[in-house]
Amino acid sequence: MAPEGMVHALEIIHQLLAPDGLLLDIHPTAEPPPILVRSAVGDFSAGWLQETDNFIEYKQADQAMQRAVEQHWFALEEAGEFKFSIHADGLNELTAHLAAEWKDAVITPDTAARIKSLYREHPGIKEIIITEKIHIARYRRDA
Amino acid sequence: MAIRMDPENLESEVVCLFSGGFADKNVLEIGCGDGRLTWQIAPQARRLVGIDPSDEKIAKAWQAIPNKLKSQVHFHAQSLEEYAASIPSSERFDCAVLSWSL
Repeated sequence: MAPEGMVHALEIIHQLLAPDGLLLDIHPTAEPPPILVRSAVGDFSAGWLQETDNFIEYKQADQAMQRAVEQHWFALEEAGEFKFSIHADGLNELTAHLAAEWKDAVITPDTAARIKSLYREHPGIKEIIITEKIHIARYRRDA
Repeated sequence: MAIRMDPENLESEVVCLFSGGFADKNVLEIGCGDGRLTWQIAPQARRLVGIDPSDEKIAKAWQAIPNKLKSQVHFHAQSLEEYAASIPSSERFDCAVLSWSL
C-alpha cells in the first residue's frame, strides 16, 4: 500500500471506531528474519531471508501511524515486539510456502546452499526455522 | 505437517495481553487472511468482522470457521474502504486489529 493510502486507511479506521476504541497495529519490523536449521545436536545459522519490497512498507507503516498520531486520530498507549516463527520440515516445503504466501521473500542461492550443506553434514536435522521480529502497538482513538 | 506457524502461540498471547482481552467487544480485523489470528481472538469477542481483499483467503477462512464461532464471526472479501462504504454510518467497533496489513 502506498504511504498516502496507509494514512487514508487509518483515517477510515478512526471513523469506524467507537469513542475510546482501541487500534492494535501488528506488523513485522524491517529487520531481516534469520534462518536456522535445527538438528538433534543444536541450531545452526543458515543466513537471512531477503525481502525485496516489504521492509520498505513496514517503515512506511510506522510513518503513517506517526502521521495519524500527529493528526490526533490516535494516541499511542503501549508498543513492543515479539517473535513469530515459521517451522518447515524441509527446504522444499519452505520454498513452496514462501512462493504461495510470502512472494516478496527470497532465500538466496548462498543461503539455500548453506541449508543443503547443513543437511548433508547433520543427518538428524529436524526442521528449518524462520523467525520474524514483529512490532505491536496499542493506540486509543483520540479526538 | 510440513509448515507450522508460530507453534509457541506467542502472537495470540501478546495480542491478548496488549488488547486487555476482547471480552464482549465488537472487533474489526483488517487483513484477516485465512483466519489464522481470527480463531485466537474470536472466542472472546462478542462479534468479529474479518475483512481481506483476497477472495481466495476469505473462502479459506469461511471453510475453516469452527462451528462454535459461526454465529459471531463474519468475513467479507473487501478492502477497508469498500467495507466502510458498505455498512451503516452509525456502526462502530470497540477494537480494530491491523493484522500485518497496514
